[in-house]
Amino acid sequence: MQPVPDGRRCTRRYWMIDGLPELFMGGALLSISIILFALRFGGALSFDTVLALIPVLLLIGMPFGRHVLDAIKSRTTYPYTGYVEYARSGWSQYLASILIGFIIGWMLIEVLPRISLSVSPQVFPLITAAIFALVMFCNGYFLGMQRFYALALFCLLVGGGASLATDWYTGCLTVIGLTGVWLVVSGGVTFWRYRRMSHHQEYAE
Amino acid sequence: MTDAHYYHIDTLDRFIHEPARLMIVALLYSVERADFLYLQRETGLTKGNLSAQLSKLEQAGYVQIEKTFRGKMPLTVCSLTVEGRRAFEQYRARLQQLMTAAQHPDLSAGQVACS
Repeated sequence: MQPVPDGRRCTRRYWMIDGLPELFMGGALLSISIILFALRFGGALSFDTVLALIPVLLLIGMPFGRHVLDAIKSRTTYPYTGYVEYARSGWSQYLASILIGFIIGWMLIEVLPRISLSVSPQVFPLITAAIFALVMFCNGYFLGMQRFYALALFCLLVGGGASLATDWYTGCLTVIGLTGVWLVVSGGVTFWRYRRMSHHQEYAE
Repeated sequence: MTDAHYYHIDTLDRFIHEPARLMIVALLYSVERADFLYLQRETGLTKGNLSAQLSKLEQAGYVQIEKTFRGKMPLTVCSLTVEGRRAFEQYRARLQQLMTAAQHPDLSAGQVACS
């Protein structure tokens, strides 16, 4: 007997199923790490400004990225496996995401320097990696997609390595950049496999 | 457990309670709109069965079906109506009450209805 689907889980899973969101997110993380590297070592901006840029980039990038991704999916995914118009975000959700962005920014500017006095800065790359790993693990657990467990493990390994090898700032950017690269690879492979499977199904029908 | 807990079980919306229709409504509830192909993929129903169930839901006023074209390809887009959305919410709440009653047989029917 077919179980009754959890509608919300189905739609979230469907959003991730073709690998495009990973590809996009990976590209964004990679770009952020490269930009922050350039800004930091180019000497154009102060360290605080560089940190404050992260939530601003996230705030601008997330809604814009979603629209772009939806437009791409309408050409690459929906014709093969079905069209879905996702539930529109209400004002409360937009406000919540803005609030979260500001909290992250405040934590980076205010809380991080205080923590750095009590904790060795060499741990920061590992903390960054642990946050990424937690997000990946939650994706894997709640969406039932096993590739995210591999991503979580990779984040932790990179975080451990980066915290041992370099100074903490370069380590953090290395974690962000390498997580981006891994997401791009994972998303690319998933997208390729998805398209191949969709074409096979199309011809079978 | 007293019979009072199950006194109102017949108030469940039998139209939504049917498994195939419940799957369709549950899926449409979490999106604005979805096409036939997506519903077929997620529910695992055959084309004929899905089409028949959608027609019934449309006749009941729970689902709105829009037939358009994307390029030269026909596209059947389905969405829940306001009435369908409300009916599913009521069905879910009612079922939740009955489940609570089954788990806590010591509560009276009135307490369950309030919980």
